[in-house]
Amino acid sequence: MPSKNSINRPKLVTNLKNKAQKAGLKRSRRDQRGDFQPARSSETSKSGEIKSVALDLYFQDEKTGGSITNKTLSKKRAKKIERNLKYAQQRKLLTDLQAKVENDMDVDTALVKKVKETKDSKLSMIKKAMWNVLDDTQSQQNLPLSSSGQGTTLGGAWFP
Amino acid sequence: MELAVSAEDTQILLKDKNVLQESVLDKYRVAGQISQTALKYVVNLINNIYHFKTEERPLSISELCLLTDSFILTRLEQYYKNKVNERGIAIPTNIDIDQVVTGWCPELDDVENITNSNKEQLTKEDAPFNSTVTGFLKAGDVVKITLGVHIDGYTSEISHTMVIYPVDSSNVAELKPAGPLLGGKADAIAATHIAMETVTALLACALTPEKLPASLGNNVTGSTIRNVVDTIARSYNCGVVPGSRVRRIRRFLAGQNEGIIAEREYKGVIWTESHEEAKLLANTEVKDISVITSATPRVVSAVPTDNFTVSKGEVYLVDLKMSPLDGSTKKGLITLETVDSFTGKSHKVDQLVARSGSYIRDYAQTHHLKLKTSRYLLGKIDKQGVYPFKLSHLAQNFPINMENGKLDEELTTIKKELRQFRLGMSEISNNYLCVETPIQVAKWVPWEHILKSNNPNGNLTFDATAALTLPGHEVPLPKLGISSMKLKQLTKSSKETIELPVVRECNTVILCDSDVSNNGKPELLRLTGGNKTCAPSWIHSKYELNVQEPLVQGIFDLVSLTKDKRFGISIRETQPMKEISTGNKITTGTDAMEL
Repeated sequence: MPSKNSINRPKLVTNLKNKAQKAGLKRSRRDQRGDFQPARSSETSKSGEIKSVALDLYFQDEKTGGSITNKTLSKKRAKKIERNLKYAQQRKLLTDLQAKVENDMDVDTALVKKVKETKDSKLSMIKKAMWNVLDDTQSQQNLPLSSSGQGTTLGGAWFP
Repeated sequence: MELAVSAEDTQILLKDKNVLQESVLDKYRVAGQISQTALKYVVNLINNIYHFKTEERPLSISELCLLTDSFILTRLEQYYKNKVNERGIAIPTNIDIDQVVTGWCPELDDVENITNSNKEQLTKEDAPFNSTVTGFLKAGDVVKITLGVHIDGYTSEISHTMVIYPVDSSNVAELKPAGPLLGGKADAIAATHIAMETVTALLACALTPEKLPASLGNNVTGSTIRNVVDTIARSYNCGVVPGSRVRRIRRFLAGQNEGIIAEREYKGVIWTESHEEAKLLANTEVKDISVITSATPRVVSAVPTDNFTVSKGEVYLVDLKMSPLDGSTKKGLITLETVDSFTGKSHKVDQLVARSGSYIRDYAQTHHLKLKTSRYLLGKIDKQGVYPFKLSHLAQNFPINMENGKLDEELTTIKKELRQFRLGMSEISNNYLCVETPIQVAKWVPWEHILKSNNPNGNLTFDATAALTLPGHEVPLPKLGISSMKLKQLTKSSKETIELPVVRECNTVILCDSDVSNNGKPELLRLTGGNKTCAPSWIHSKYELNVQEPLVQGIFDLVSLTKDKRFGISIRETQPMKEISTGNKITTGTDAMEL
């Protein structure tokens, strides 16, 4: 590498490179700030989703804008995305199947529900029965007592 | 905690020492005799004060309790001296008035506290706890006297209910009550007296089961006893108060430790709130359902059930408490409220604020005490044994020497000594080395209020101050899932809650087989109670037993059996000693004492 003050040091190349770097930095900062993103209210907003340039490019249907861009999608990355999509599809099928199997076995789920029901209804059954008993006895007004006769006398007119 | 006792020792302590033989029977008999005499003594004192008005200085309840305890100890001096390791008071004398069920034996120094914290009771003459707080009885009070004596652990307990009457003084030579007691209290006295006599006869039938009337079954079982007692209570419009029991007692296991130790092979019928609940649901389709399925306790035999047969050679404690239910036409639950000294002094007329006078040592607890006074006191307590005690029992001047006639001076000395004991006792009871025996008040709560209540926590609430409960009966209402804490809250929250007067009779009986009985025939020996000592007060109840009922028919048959000398069942009573004045200044009338 030639020194800074050498005669034939390449001036233009480094200057241009620096300029391009600075511009790229500014652009990426603006990008990070979300200056190029659609508003959160718009339909195309990806706010809150995972940010991935590769996925964006993969799912982008038409090429927007004819201008120059540094967003690229390599062939290798595209292949990986395709493969992952395939796996995701398979996983979804599996979970659907499991859900279906679980729904078919309604014996288990019913049992869980039943336990809860009986716990509640036990108390309510007892309370209901008690109310019935109370209503019955209160309407009868102490039938079994016999106070028709002489009554009962104990002791006598002395201090025991 | 389970105590590790070797199999051999268990055999000796629980089995061999409880075999009824002449020496054991004699200890029981002497203990019974002393308790009968002590009851006579205190009854005569009360009669002299309130009916004959012969005492120049009326004694308050706390003094009466202490004098009776002192009398018991003086009497015990003459028996089994240096022959047995332990003998003494099995229950400090309790004098419970009306609504107080059990545990009222205030110390001498507590009188001031009680009057100060229950001012509301003093201002109104008809307040429920008026006599309890003033310490002096008034006409119409139902007074329950409870005491007990043990010799070498063989215990006899007695409880008797007497009535304070307005005196008819038309004939000064022969004072008599102005008239019989009427109303609810009279119903309860009649029911309790009849139930007591019936259960005694029933237990006597266990010696000769072939004589048992057919309507009562072939054997005397727990459920027979419960049926009989419940029927009698129902006939007199009364309810059996929780805490009543008919149980077998053994050496040192006379029910004084219930709730503190779980007693193996518990044999007896007990009445609790849960039985009331079960009775209500007995004829419905949900009788077997319960919200709480209690986990099986470790020692199953410690849980009281009715599933037992009374057999020969056993000693039974018959402790029956009943309350009249004439206060309301509704159905309600009788429950017990424990009185304490720290629940706010809220000036409620239906609330009693007091601390318990008697304690019981919990030998399962150990703790190194910091105060010298506490250690000294604990040393005294430990000498005293497994029975409940009062602090004044530990005083130097106890038993009170009454021969010099300076009762007031003696009482003041004891009072002074109590101050030091109180300091020590607070550390001892704070570390659970001793447990207060609860003072309980009977309350009635309408079932409606309980059923309407919201109980989202179920039985998860834990009441640290709950009175002693037997194993397996910790939850008062297991079918509804209501814990003791919740029940306490329900009792306080309902406006319809009322306090019930309670009548109590408690006797100890021995089922002697022919090898130990006097006349060679199997007989029931009534250690305490009986017509000589515990004659019922003059009452008239408008109710009577319904002869049409088969069970009642059986009860009448039983009574006729006890009267039949030749073919019937024989019941013998222990008589009180002839001379009950021990040279005291406070003498007792001996006119009622002929044997």
